[in-house]
Amino acid sequence: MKPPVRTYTKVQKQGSVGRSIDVTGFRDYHELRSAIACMFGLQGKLEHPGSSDWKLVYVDYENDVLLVGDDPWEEFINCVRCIRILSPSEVQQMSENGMHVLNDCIQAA
Amino acid sequence: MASYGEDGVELTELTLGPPGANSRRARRARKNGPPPSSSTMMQAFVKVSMDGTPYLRKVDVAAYGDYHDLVEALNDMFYCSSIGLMDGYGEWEHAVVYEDGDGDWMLVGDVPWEMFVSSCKRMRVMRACEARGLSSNA
Repeated sequence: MKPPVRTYTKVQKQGSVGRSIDVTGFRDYHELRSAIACMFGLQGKLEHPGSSDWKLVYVDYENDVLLVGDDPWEEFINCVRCIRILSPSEVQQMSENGMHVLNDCIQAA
Repeated sequence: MASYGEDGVELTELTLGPPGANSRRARRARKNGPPPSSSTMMQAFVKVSMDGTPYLRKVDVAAYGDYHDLVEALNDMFYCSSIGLMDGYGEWEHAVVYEDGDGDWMLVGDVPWEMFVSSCKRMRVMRACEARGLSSNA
């Protein structure tokens, strides 16, 4: 019998080609962060949320942009629609100008 | 990687204990000791937005004992010290409002804590002057 169809979640970063991942293939946030950091050459910048100016955020099914890591893991994988890596300058820019930077991510979700 | 049972349904691993990889809960647990038994049974994760910040956060309001614990956590979460309760005891730059079960936006702090935990659906941190404008009838 064939396994259920998987859905893949896009991970995007400005200036890089987007990637797709199956979030259900990870056990927890630590595995997710490590894999994404590795994919985008950002080892050491995403693994510990408070220790870097790079931020991992996601768009949920209500089109809100949230910081990855606050929800219990099982709830996160149910509501995540796409993931975005924000550079320190993007975070600063978004704080000043609102969330226009994420429009393409939200429209694609 | 996911594995599948004989019937084709994806197998999931059950684990016991509090949600993993939540550094905030871990810090609080280290500071305050084990939480009361009632809070380990109930979770109430709600979104929190702060005007002017680029992304939302989520908090488990049921993990806190009272409004002051919650406000302290929000200041910690948004890297500020300007959020406070509009209880008349201090001038704060930011106030907290919440969306209740009826879909109304209400000022945080008026109702008993347990009632707030059960009715809060979402929170927003806004400038206190705007909150005063919403809460006054003038």
